Amino acid sequence: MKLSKSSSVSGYIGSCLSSVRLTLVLIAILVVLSIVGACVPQISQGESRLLSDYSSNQSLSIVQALGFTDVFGSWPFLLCIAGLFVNLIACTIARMPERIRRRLNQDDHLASSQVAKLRQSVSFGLPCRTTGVLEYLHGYMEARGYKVSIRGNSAVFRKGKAGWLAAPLTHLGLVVLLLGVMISMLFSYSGVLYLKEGDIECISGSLEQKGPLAHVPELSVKLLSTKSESYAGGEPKQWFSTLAIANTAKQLFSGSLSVNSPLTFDGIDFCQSDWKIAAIAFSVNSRYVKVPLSDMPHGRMGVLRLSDDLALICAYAGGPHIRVYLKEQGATHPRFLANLAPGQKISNFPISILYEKELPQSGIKFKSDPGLWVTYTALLFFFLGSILVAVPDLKIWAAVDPGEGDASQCWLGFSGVKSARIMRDHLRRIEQAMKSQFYEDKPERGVVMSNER
Amino acid sequence: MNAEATFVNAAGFSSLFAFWIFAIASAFQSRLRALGAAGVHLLIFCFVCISLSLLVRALGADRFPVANLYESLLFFSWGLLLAFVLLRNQISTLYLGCLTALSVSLVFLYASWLPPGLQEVRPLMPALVSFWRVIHVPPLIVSYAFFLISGLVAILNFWSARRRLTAICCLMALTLCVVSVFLGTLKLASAQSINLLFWFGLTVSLVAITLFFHMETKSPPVATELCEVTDAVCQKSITIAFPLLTFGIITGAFWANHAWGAYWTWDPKESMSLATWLSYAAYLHLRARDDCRTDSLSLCAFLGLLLTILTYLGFTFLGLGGLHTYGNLA
Repeated sequence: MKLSKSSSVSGYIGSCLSSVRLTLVLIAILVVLSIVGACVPQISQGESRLLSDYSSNQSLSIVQALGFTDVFGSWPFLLCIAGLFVNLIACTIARMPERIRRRLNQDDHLASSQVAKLRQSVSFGLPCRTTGVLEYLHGYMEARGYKVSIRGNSAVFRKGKAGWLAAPLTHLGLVVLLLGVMISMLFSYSGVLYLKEGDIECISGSLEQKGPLAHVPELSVKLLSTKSESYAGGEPKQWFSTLAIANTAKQLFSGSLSVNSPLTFDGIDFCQSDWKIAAIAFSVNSRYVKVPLSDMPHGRMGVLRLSDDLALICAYAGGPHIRVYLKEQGATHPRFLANLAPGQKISNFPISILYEKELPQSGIKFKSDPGLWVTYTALLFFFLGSILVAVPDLKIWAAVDPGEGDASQCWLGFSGVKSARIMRDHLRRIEQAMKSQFYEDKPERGVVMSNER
Repeated sequence: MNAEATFVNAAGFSSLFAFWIFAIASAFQSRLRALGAAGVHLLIFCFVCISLSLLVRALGADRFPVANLYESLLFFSWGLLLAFVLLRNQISTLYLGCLTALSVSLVFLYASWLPPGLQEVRPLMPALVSFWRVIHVPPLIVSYAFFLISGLVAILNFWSARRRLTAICCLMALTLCVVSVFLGTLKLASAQSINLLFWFGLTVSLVAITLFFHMETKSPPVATELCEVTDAVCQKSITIAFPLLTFGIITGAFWANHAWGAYWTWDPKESMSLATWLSYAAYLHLRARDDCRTDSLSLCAFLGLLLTILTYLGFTFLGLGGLHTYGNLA
């Protein structure tokens, strides 16, 4: 008694875990969480974004306390993903063996009593012998693209058999995706290098993310050169950088990269993720100085203090020129001095200022991810699965029992849920076609049975 | 007037005429079938005109014309007409033609309101100079077009199933969302008001859901022939669009890894595309349940449409930012 109770409980839990209803509930929660995560700025987008979006620290702290600023790392989201994974495994265990068995046994002819027990079946009498009925069915179904197999008084008709792979492939994709993400979490590392020409930085010192089992090689990256290419109107067209990669002993590799053309060395991808003019070089009274630029709403700006009561302001908004202003102590507004191109000088001023050159900074993102190809394989499975959703998986069983005299009783049925509506229409049409073929003007005598499970 | 503008204007006017023709023909269904056929021909003419305008623009710009909002809207209307061409045999052509012509006309109206600077061919920013742009963007826009058709047909399904209140609420929610996107694009109201309007629209859709589950279920839905036909069109539309959306998201991940060194960054648009994908995955799972009614499926398709609008245009114009704000007027 105890055993039967526990087995019924485990059966109930098993059917709950493998139910499509649970899938739908989990998907609905994931949709809601994704919308929240998309609409509320996330911590992964940078703290500056969070601060700029919330006028007060109080509202920011409320949103943070609710967990809305890290939705995709929050436990409800991860729990839903885990739940979906469990649901998927349970579905696979509950349904896949039966489906595979059916697939392997393509010519699983069924007797009329078995056809009657299928998910949807229809039965009707016909004034014709069984051979005549099966012959007609053979021709009718073959003309509609079905593959026909007849054995004795039963027949199987199949069409679009690749369609059954849609769900298994998509679900396999989800499992492989989780595997890929897990490998990435454990073994990947990534970071960003902000380099000016001639700068050298170590990969291990610029990490933003590192998996607990990731091995980061002792490599240094030197920016040999960088440049920007512009359209005729001055809009940026492309950014290029040339890097030299070295270990502690010697230079190992050098190569160029640009946006959308990454550089790969020893499993590490280097991408041109950013490029900007970071500073302006001046000669002030023949002394070389660099003025770092800061981001402003309509460009970039830098300030050079010339003396206690004088400051030089340079504004850069793209293009070859910079605008130079002078700010005197006590003055409300800075005074515009000149538009300068590299090599030009301000001479009508007590201090000689020569605009030497702009100093670009290249943003290089680097990443090593051994799980990437596993993830890509998963995405491929997703895509194939989603295409196969459109391919109907049609399989119809027929059985014809001899009746009195020249009459016979025909049984048609199908199982499966993917194309249930299409299949119901098919059964209806086949039945109508057979009746109009054999009955001519005689009254119809069909019985439709539905065995919903 | 240049060739591209001529084709665009011809397409815009023909879609508008087609809408009125379909509307009149729908009102007198049995008597004016010839008028419906004329509407079909007008929409096919519109399809040809948009195709030619895209071709002329591509030749002029020397690149595939999906690089800014204007071009994406042209391509979107092309996708809507493609959906009509592929699906029209499945439904009473009049209804589908009416919905398509109205949608295309509104898209043209929206595109024509964009500032001239945004309608011109502009040089591509470095991130967009890639072959991935041609692979990633068109399938997504075409999938959005098919999802729009499926959502509109879903509202028609509610109406034909005598779920009139649900249909009206859905229509209101859709109108509010579309109006807020229009206002947000043209910056005719403050960002806060536009956001409020959009979220109010989504709230109205929640009212539609409540009505669907509590008030209108007291009487079972009427299964008319139109119900079955709209359900079939909705399914076919989603079955075509879902692989395109999947392909678009996957190629987007490939491109992001190629350009930024990360295939998924939980950017708002990425997150929303996931939500949209999941909603249509839910539709397909719901469809797999044989006991599921057509009106439940329609509700799922309609909610999917709202998410599609939020994914396609919402993020650029509701000020939610992200890496995909290429069409932003600011």
